[in-house]
Amino acid sequence: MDDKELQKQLLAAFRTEARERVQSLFASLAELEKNPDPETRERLIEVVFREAHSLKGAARSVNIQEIEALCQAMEGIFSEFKRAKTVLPPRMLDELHEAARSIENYLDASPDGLPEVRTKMAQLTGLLSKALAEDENRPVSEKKKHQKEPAARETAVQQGLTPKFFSRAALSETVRISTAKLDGLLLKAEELISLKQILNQHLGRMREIGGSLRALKKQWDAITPEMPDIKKAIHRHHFLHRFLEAFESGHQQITKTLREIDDRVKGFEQSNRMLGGMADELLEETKKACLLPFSTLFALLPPMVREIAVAQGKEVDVELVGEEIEIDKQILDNIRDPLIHLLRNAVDHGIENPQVRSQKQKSRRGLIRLIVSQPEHHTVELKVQDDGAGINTQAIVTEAVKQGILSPENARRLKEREIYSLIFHSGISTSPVLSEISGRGLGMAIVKDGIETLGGSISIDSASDRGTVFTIHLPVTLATFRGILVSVSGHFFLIPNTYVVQALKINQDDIKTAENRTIITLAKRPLSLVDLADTLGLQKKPAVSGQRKKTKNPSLPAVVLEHNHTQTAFIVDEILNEQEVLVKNLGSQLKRIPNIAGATVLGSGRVVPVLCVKDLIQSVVLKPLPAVAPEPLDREAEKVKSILVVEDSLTARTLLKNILEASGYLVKTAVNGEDGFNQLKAKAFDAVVSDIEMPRMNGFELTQKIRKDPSLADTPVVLVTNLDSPVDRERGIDAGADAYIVKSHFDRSNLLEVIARLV
Amino acid sequence: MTPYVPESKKTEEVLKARAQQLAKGGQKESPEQKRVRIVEFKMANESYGIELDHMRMIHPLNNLTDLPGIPAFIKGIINVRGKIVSIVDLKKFFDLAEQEPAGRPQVIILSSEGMEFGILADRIIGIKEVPEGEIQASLPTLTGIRAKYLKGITTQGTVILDAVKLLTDPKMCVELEVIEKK
Repeated sequence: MDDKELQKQLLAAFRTEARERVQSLFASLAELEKNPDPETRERLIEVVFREAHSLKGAARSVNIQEIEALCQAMEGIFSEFKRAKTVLPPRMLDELHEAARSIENYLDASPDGLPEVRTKMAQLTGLLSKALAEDENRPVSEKKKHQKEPAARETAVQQGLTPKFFSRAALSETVRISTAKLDGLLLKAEELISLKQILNQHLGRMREIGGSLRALKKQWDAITPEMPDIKKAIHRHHFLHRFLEAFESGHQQITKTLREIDDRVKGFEQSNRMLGGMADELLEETKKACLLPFSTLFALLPPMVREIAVAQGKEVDVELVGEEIEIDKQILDNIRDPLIHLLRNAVDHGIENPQVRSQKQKSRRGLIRLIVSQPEHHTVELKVQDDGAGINTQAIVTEAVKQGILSPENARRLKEREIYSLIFHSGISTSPVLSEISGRGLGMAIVKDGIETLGGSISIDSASDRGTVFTIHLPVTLATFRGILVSVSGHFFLIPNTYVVQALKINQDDIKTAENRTIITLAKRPLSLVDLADTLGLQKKPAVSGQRKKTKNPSLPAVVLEHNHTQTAFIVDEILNEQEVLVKNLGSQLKRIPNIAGATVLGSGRVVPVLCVKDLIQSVVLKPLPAVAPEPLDREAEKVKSILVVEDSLTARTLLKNILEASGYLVKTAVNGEDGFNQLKAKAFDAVVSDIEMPRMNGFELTQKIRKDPSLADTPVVLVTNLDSPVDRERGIDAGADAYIVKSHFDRSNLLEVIARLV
Repeated sequence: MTPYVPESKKTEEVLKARAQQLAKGGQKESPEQKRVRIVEFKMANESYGIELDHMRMIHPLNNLTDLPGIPAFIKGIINVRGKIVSIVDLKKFFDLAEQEPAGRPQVIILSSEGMEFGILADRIIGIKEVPEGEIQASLPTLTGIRAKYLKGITTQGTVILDAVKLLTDPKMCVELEVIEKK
């Protein structure tokens, strides 16, 4: 019923809009008939073109195909004349007039008259389309077509892209807008998406309120049959009358309010749906406005390839195809490095020396082709193709076996395609020499990473002596992606679905320890299990573990994440839901934060960090984590040790503070000995780390003062200093310091070891 | 330490100040009395000012999200009209005494080519014009870490920060790799 209602409202809106547009069409067509000067004509054509185009869109949204088709035909004609800048022949003007008239008739037609109007419209559509086709075949257009042909042949794959008229219309009128302004627009459009989600939440809440009122009304309704009896009973107690009145007016009020709320909710739903649709479209259109052709990137490639080739005594030609195809600016920026890497590889490993090529009866000059095409509306395909030696599969397999990535038995069973995918494994390089350009075995892993981060994919095909083709698929615009929302120690994080193998509950009894690591067995495969809070360096919130304890739930929610063939299970506090989100970068100040790839704004307005799974898995590999004890819940939280850092240089102070905090110490700072001593008197610390040369009170004096003060005498003192003479060292020890670290040999583990020993 | 001033009285003061400003001869600047426009704010009970040239906007501190693994002087990130902006706590950066912020903290967003962040203000006092002559080089008592980021101090004791120094300081830029922690 709601949908019908909406349809009705939409139709009403469409009628109003269509009338306005038809009026505008009439007016402009009449002007055109007067055969005005070229400038005015151009402006008018533009007006009618836009009106026809907009009306077509509107008709499509209410599914009136007759109007849509007719407008399409009109638009086609206007577009053609817009390009040709010629006068519309009178006969055509008449037909266009008639077309506009028939649309008006359609809007006014009674159900009985409709078939007739429809027939008329179909006729006109046919007539106009035919006129357009004839116009197309005029010699001028012929010439134009010829010009286009070579390009068309090059990009045979690109067929069926944009309707011809659109691209021409776009060419005829362009405006230069700074990318900064476009980015600004894009941000605003993206913000509308959050707003849409917020509105949906409000709507949900309104429905709930309506629901609870309805429940209340139902209760009161239920009493209604008993009302006469109640009234009789109350009659005997005169004073209860007022209560009865209150009840009855309350009942009425609720009924009224409920109706009001229902109406509002309905209205809200409709507006919201329209607004949502518009917001989505606006974002889509804005994204399109932010597209750039590949040529902006390609321009720098041929010279670069030539340079590398010359340096290696090779001869290489570069051919670019489809460089006019457009893609999101951000994607274009980010594809640059992977692409350069592939091209370097192609010159370095692919293309052979001229002599070798001659022996193989190939032309001396190698050829690298970059072919862009758009097989689908939303994806762009980029091929990097060389006619070189091809990939030596045997060398890759040997290398993989040597590195233990592959067992010799498995190596024999591998299919060609699987062997190629080994190239993306970091550590594999078939280049015999580690040249400056490639062969470090890391490159292809990075290329794949970069492309996958953009939501793309890469595959390889190769034939011995015939060459190698890397095929990259990329989205045209940076789309929203889906991720799961988890909570850890009171923080929310989003994990992109692409990295999530599965979400599950882990039974405490299934957690085993092996080689000082906790593991679980999933599908007969052992997986390392770590606490996400530990990996991220978050303090466990006591409230959370308390909750866990209370529920006595022996299972822990966890997600299994995968990157680069490594899987790890991460324990989280809660897996909340799956969401569609837009990732944003963290701003210009936070260039790179370990484990965080970006952030997104939820419907509630809350900003949620998006986790970088690559970093997480690397973090787990790099640091042996404290094992998740099978029963972590009963573990008493260790008291956090506090350290006072006394240092007058900001840099050194920040450094020390960061190192110590990273290791879980609570750190306070003081800017000189005096400040330090005052802080120590105010509050006890587990240790003091102090510089020696400082204004007001130096480190030696501070140490002495600490040792002399009965309440502080036991506090361990570590002196960190530039003074590296035996005399100073002795003086430090004399003053009562527990340790003396010279900055020039300073490394963090040294300091941390000393402190761990002392506190 | 600032005495509590009722709202109406504050308004009165502002109006009075403006009236005096006008009485002095309006907006016209004599060449030797160039004026500097600053936004004045409170931080750790001290009065600070920062030139308007590099201020993008003032934004309430809503929906602050902490990030794991960021330096202590960064409070977290917020969403400002669809863009993520990181928030710097200058108290931490300057190593000032930590105080419970009074009232509703605001964010002053500074921005320049290639760098943007917000600084946390306990309270915004307002925009004001200070004659350049009234800004003197920093006091000897302010030699700490702050000295480096100071433009000067007004006769009323407002510490004027150097937005350019803050924005271009490499220490402000955070670029951390996944490191092995012991």
